Amino acid sequence: MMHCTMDDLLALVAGEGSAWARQHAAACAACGAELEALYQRVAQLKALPARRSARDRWPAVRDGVGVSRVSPRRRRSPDSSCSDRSGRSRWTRPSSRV
Amino acid sequence: MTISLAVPDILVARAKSGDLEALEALYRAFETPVYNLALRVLRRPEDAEDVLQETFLEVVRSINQYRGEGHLWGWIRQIAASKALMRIRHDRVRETEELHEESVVGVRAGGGVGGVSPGAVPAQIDLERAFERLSETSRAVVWLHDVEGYTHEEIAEQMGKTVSFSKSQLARAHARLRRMLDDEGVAP
Repeated sequence: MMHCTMDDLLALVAGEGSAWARQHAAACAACGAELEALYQRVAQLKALPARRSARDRWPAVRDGVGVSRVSPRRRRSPDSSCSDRSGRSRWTRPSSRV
Repeated sequence: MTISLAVPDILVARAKSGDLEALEALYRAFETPVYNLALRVLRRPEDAEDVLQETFLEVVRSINQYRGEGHLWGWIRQIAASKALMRIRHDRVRETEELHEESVVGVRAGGGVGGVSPGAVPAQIDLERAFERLSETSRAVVWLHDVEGYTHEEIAEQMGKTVSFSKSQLARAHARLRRMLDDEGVAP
Protein backbone atom coordinates (compact mmCIF):
# COMPACT_ATOMS: atom_id res chain seq x y z
CA MET A 1 0.00 0.00 0.00
CA MET A 2 1.27 3.44 -0.84
CA HIS A 3 1.63 5.75 2.16
CA CYS A 4 1.75 9.51 2.55
CA THR A 5 5.11 11.15 2.09
CA MET A 6 6.32 13.88 4.44
CA ASP A 7 5.42 16.36 1.68
CA ASP A 8 1.87 14.99 1.69
CA LEU A 9 1.62 15.28 5.47
CA LEU A 10 3.06 18.79 5.56
CA ALA A 11 0.57 19.83 2.92
CA LEU A 12 -2.23 18.42 5.07
CA VAL A 13 -0.97 20.36 8.09
CA ALA A 14 -0.97 23.48 5.93
CA GLY A 15 -4.54 22.72 4.84
CA GLU A 16 -3.42 22.16 1.28
CA GLY A 17 -3.26 18.39 1.08
CA SER A 18 -4.68 16.38 -1.76
CA ALA A 19 -7.97 14.55 -1.41
CA TRP A 20 -6.10 11.26 -1.70
CA ALA A 21 -3.70 12.17 1.12
CA ARG A 22 -6.56 13.31 3.35
CA GLN A 23 -8.54 10.12 2.79
CA HIS A 24 -5.47 7.94 3.20
CA ALA A 25 -4.36 9.60 6.43
CA ALA A 26 -7.87 9.13 7.79
CA ALA A 27 -7.90 5.43 6.90
CA CYS A 28 -4.28 4.42 7.51
CA ALA A 29 -3.27 4.10 11.15
CA ALA A 30 0.43 4.63 10.42
CA CYS A 31 -0.06 7.76 8.34
CA GLY A 32 -2.70 9.06 10.75
CA ALA A 33 -0.27 8.68 13.61
CA GLU A 34 2.47 10.35 11.58
CA LEU A 35 0.17 13.25 10.80
CA GLU A 36 -0.77 13.64 14.45
CA ALA A 37 2.90 13.56 15.44
CA LEU A 38 3.60 16.26 12.89
CA TYR A 39 0.84 18.46 14.30
CA GLN A 40 2.26 17.95 17.77
CA ARG A 41 5.83 18.70 16.67
CA VAL A 42 4.78 21.96 15.06
CA ALA A 43 2.76 22.89 18.15
CA GLN A 44 5.75 22.14 20.36
CA LEU A 45 8.06 24.24 18.21
CA LYS A 46 5.64 27.13 18.53
CA ALA A 47 5.53 26.62 22.27
CA LEU A 48 9.28 26.71 22.80
CA PRO A 49 10.08 29.47 25.26
CA ALA A 50 11.48 32.74 23.99
CA ARG A 51 15.17 33.28 24.57
CA ARG A 52 16.42 36.63 25.71
CA SER A 53 19.69 38.25 24.86
CA ALA A 54 22.14 38.18 27.74
CA ARG A 55 23.55 41.54 26.72
CA ASP A 56 21.78 44.79 26.06
CA ARG A 57 22.54 45.80 22.48
CA TRP A 58 20.59 49.05 22.55
CA PRO A 59 23.65 51.18 23.48
CA ALA A 60 25.48 49.68 20.51
CA VAL A 61 22.51 50.36 18.22
CA ARG A 62 22.26 53.94 19.45
CA ASP A 63 26.00 54.49 19.11
CA GLY A 64 26.08 52.64 15.80
CA VAL A 65 23.55 54.98 14.30
CA GLY A 66 25.65 57.67 15.91
CA VAL A 67 23.02 60.30 15.55
CA SER A 68 19.54 61.11 16.69
CA ARG A 69 16.94 63.00 14.80
CA VAL A 70 15.56 66.15 16.25
CA SER A 71 12.00 66.57 17.36
CA PRO A 72 9.55 68.09 14.86
CA ARG A 73 9.04 71.12 17.13
CA ARG A 74 12.72 71.92 17.13
CA ARG A 75 12.96 71.27 13.41
CA ARG A 76 10.45 74.02 12.69
CA SER A 77 12.52 76.64 14.45
CA PRO A 78 13.72 79.16 11.81
CA ASP A 79 17.19 79.46 13.28
CA SER A 80 17.45 75.83 14.23
CA SER A 81 20.78 74.29 13.50
CA CYS A 82 18.95 71.04 13.01
CA SER A 83 17.32 71.88 9.72
CA ASP A 84 18.85 72.27 6.33
CA ARG A 85 18.07 75.20 4.07
CA SER A 86 15.02 73.52 2.64
CA GLY A 87 13.60 73.11 6.12
CA ARG A 88 13.90 69.35 6.03
CA SER A 89 15.15 67.61 9.09
CA ARG A 90 18.62 66.24 9.06
CA TRP A 91 20.58 64.01 11.32
CA THR A 92 22.44 65.56 14.22
CA ARG A 93 24.82 64.25 16.78
CA PRO A 94 23.19 62.77 19.84
CA SER A 95 22.55 65.02 22.75
CA SER A 96 24.26 64.54 26.06
CA ARG A 97 21.32 62.54 27.40
CA VAL A 98 22.14 59.74 25.05
CA MET B 1 6.34 31.71 22.69
CA THR B 2 3.71 34.23 23.64
CA ILE B 3 4.79 37.83 23.67
CA SER B 4 2.62 40.85 23.24
CA LEU B 5 3.88 42.67 20.17
CA ALA B 6 1.31 45.43 20.05
CA VAL B 7 2.73 48.94 20.12
CA PRO B 8 0.72 52.15 20.14
CA ASP B 9 0.60 54.09 16.88
CA ILE B 10 1.75 57.20 18.72
CA LEU B 11 4.95 55.42 19.68
CA VAL B 12 5.62 54.56 16.05
CA ALA B 13 4.90 58.14 15.05
CA ARG B 14 7.31 59.44 17.66
CA ALA B 15 9.96 56.97 16.53
CA LYS B 16 9.50 58.16 12.95
CA SER B 17 10.08 61.71 14.08
CA GLY B 18 13.40 60.65 15.55
CA ASP B 19 12.44 60.53 19.20
CA LEU B 20 15.22 58.50 20.72
CA GLU B 21 13.14 57.37 23.68
CA ALA B 22 10.48 56.07 21.32
CA LEU B 23 13.09 54.25 19.27
CA GLU B 24 14.44 52.65 22.41
CA ALA B 25 10.90 51.70 23.42
CA LEU B 26 10.51 49.91 20.08
CA TYR B 27 13.81 48.16 20.67
CA ARG B 28 12.61 47.01 24.10
CA ALA B 29 9.31 45.83 22.65
CA PHE B 30 10.88 43.72 19.92
CA GLU B 31 14.35 42.77 21.14
CA THR B 32 13.25 39.37 22.46
CA PRO B 33 11.33 38.14 19.40
CA VAL B 34 14.12 39.35 17.12
CA TYR B 35 16.82 37.74 19.24
CA ASN B 36 14.78 34.55 19.58
CA LEU B 37 14.24 34.25 15.84
CA ALA B 38 17.95 34.80 15.17
CA LEU B 39 19.02 32.40 17.88
CA ARG B 40 16.72 29.64 16.68
CA VAL B 41 18.11 29.97 13.18
CA LEU B 42 21.78 30.63 13.94
CA ARG B 43 22.06 28.84 17.29
CA ARG B 44 25.06 30.82 18.54
CA PRO B 45 24.11 33.56 21.01
CA GLU B 46 26.83 35.91 19.76
CA ASP B 47 25.52 35.59 16.19
CA ALA B 48 21.98 36.21 17.36
CA GLU B 49 23.09 39.30 19.26
CA ASP B 50 24.81 40.59 16.14
CA VAL B 51 21.63 40.06 14.15
CA LEU B 52 19.66 41.83 16.87
CA GLN B 53 22.00 44.80 16.64
CA GLU B 54 22.06 44.86 12.82
CA THR B 55 18.29 44.58 12.69
CA PHE B 56 17.70 47.56 14.94
CA LEU B 57 20.36 49.64 13.25
CA GLU B 58 18.29 49.19 10.12
CA VAL B 59 15.02 49.75 11.95
CA VAL B 60 16.28 53.05 13.35
CA ARG B 61 17.60 54.14 9.97
CA SER B 62 14.55 53.02 8.00
CA ILE B 63 11.61 53.46 10.33
CA ASN B 64 10.22 56.12 8.01
CA GLN B 65 9.86 53.48 5.32
CA TYR B 66 7.37 51.60 7.47
CA ARG B 67 4.02 52.77 6.11
CA GLY B 68 1.82 51.19 8.72
CA GLU B 69 0.58 48.53 6.34
CA GLY B 70 0.51 45.40 8.45
CA HIS B 71 1.84 44.92 11.92
CA LEU B 72 5.13 46.58 12.80
CA TRP B 73 6.41 43.21 13.99
CA GLY B 74 5.95 41.84 10.47
CA TRP B 75 8.15 44.62 9.11
CA ILE B 76 10.83 44.20 11.78
CA ARG B 77 10.69 40.43 11.50
CA GLN B 78 11.36 40.64 7.79
CA ILE B 79 14.48 42.68 8.47
CA ALA B 80 15.59 40.26 11.19
CA ALA B 81 15.00 37.20 9.02
CA SER B 82 16.88 38.83 6.17
CA LYS B 83 19.86 39.58 8.44
CA ALA B 84 19.90 36.05 9.82
CA LEU B 85 19.67 34.49 6.37
CA MET B 86 22.39 36.80 5.09
CA ARG B 87 24.62 35.56 7.88
CA ILE B 88 23.98 31.98 6.77
CA ARG B 89 24.82 32.83 3.17
CA HIS B 90 28.01 34.60 4.19
CA ASP B 91 29.17 31.78 6.38
CA ARG B 92 28.88 28.73 4.22
CA VAL B 93 31.49 26.96 6.29
CA ARG B 94 28.76 26.13 8.71
CA GLU B 95 26.99 24.11 6.08
CA THR B 96 29.36 21.34 7.13
CA GLU B 97 26.74 20.93 9.78
CA GLU B 98 24.89 18.92 7.18
CA LEU B 99 27.51 16.26 7.66
CA HIS B 100 27.54 16.76 11.37
CA GLU B 101 23.82 16.33 11.81
CA GLU B 102 23.83 13.08 9.88
CA SER B 103 26.69 11.64 11.90
CA VAL B 104 25.77 12.76 15.37
CA VAL B 105 24.74 9.88 17.53
CA GLY B 106 23.05 10.44 20.80
CA VAL B 107 21.98 13.61 22.46
CA ARG B 108 24.54 16.22 23.28
CA ALA B 109 24.86 16.74 26.96
CA GLY B 110 24.09 20.10 28.40
CA GLY B 111 21.01 21.47 26.81
CA GLY B 112 19.77 23.50 23.97
CA VAL B 113 20.14 26.97 22.62
CA GLY B 114 21.68 28.86 25.46
CA GLY B 115 20.72 25.99 27.74
CA VAL B 116 17.43 24.20 27.92
CA SER B 117 14.79 26.26 29.57
CA PRO B 118 13.96 25.60 33.14
CA GLY B 119 10.51 24.18 33.42
CA ALA B 120 10.34 22.99 29.83
CA VAL B 121 8.59 19.68 29.46
CA PRO B 122 10.83 16.73 28.49
CA ALA B 123 9.41 16.33 24.99
CA GLN B 124 10.11 20.01 24.35
CA ILE B 125 13.67 19.64 25.54
CA ASP B 126 14.25 16.75 23.18
CA LEU B 127 12.63 18.53 20.28
CA GLU B 128 14.69 21.62 21.04
CA ARG B 129 17.90 19.60 20.96
CA ALA B 130 16.89 17.79 17.81
CA PHE B 131 15.97 21.09 16.17
CA GLU B 132 19.40 22.48 17.01
CA ARG B 133 21.05 19.60 15.23
CA LEU B 134 19.50 20.54 11.92
CA SER B 135 21.56 22.61 9.51
CA GLU B 136 21.18 26.38 9.65
CA THR B 137 19.23 26.35 6.40
CA SER B 138 16.85 23.69 7.65
CA ARG B 139 16.39 25.48 10.95
CA ALA B 140 15.67 28.70 9.12
CA VAL B 141 13.02 27.10 6.91
CA VAL B 142 11.37 25.22 9.78
CA TRP B 143 11.35 28.22 12.09
CA LEU B 144 10.13 30.70 9.51
CA HIS B 145 7.44 28.35 8.17
CA ASP B 146 6.20 26.48 11.22
CA VAL B 147 6.65 29.09 13.93
CA GLU B 148 6.69 32.50 12.27
CA GLY B 149 4.06 31.56 9.71
CA TYR B 150 5.96 32.44 6.55
CA THR B 151 4.71 30.87 3.32
CA HIS B 152 7.06 28.87 1.13
CA GLU B 153 6.86 31.71 -1.40
CA GLU B 154 8.03 34.22 1.21
CA ILE B 155 10.84 31.95 2.40
CA ALA B 156 11.97 31.32 -1.16
CA GLU B 157 12.06 35.05 -1.83
CA GLN B 158 13.99 35.80 1.36
CA MET B 159 16.48 33.00 0.72
CA GLY B 160 16.88 33.64 -2.97
CA LYS B 161 15.78 30.07 -3.66
CA THR B 162 12.81 28.36 -5.24
CA VAL B 163 9.55 27.40 -3.61
CA SER B 164 10.46 23.77 -4.26
CA PHE B 165 13.68 24.26 -2.33
CA SER B 166 11.78 25.60 0.66
CA LYS B 167 9.25 22.76 0.54
CA SER B 168 11.89 20.07 0.21
CA GLN B 169 13.98 21.59 3.02
CA LEU B 170 10.94 21.56 5.29
CA ALA B 171 10.08 17.96 4.44
CA ARG B 172 13.67 16.80 4.91
CA ALA B 173 13.97 18.69 8.18
CA HIS B 174 10.80 17.14 9.57
CA ALA B 175 11.90 13.70 8.46
CA ARG B 176 15.18 14.25 10.30
CA LEU B 177 13.46 15.55 13.38
CA ARG B 178 11.25 12.49 13.41
CA ARG B 179 14.25 10.18 13.04
CA MET B 180 16.18 11.93 15.79
CA LEU B 181 13.22 11.83 18.14
CA ASP B 182 12.54 8.20 17.28
CA ASP B 183 16.17 7.36 18.05
CA GLU B 184 15.73 8.94 21.44
CA GLY B 185 12.50 7.07 21.97
CA VAL B 186 10.53 10.26 22.32
CA ALA B 187 7.35 10.99 20.47
CA PRO B 188 6.42 12.82 18.38
